[in-house]
Amino acid sequence: MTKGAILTYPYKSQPQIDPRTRQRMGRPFIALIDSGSDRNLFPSTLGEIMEMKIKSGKIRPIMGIGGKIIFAYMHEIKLYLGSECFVTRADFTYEQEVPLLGRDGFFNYFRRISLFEKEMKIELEV
Amino acid sequence: MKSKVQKNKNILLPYENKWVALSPEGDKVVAWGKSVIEVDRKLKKKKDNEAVLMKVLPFDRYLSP
Repeated sequence: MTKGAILTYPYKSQPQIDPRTRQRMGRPFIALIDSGSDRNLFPSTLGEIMEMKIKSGKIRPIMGIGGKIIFAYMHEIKLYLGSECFVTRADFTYEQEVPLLGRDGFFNYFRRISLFEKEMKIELEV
Repeated sequence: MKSKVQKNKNILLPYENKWVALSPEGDKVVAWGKSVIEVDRKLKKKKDNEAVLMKVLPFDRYLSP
């Protein structure tokens, strides 16, 4: 990612093929940016439609609100954010269906993350 | 400026607790299903590679992940 770049969204769709590498990027999806989440957590089925072998990842317990424990499989992935791409880690679980972007694996790739609540936009400074 | 999905949130009303595929503009649902696998299958059939996947959360509760 380009250092100092400021990425502003709400959202823009991207093609499924990376124009630089011609590799399939998978389907774009909407995720929640969750500063309360230690790591990225994605539904396993989202990984499966992108032909990932979910259960080949190392399994780990994840604790949520109320102390509930779920289990997830750790994987290294390429995450596309608009036209920016970075390699990161995500946990994939069959026990919840909301994609979450967390501190280790998303937030830590940015110098600054600003939420403009009234304008409903987010700025990510690389 | 609100995203188009937020401006058109009424389009999601029939799809509570379902997975949907939205047009890239976010203004219409182009496919839906109980699972993301089902939606992906429908999009492949339509050869649609640009739709955006989204889980529609229940409308009667708050989320605190």
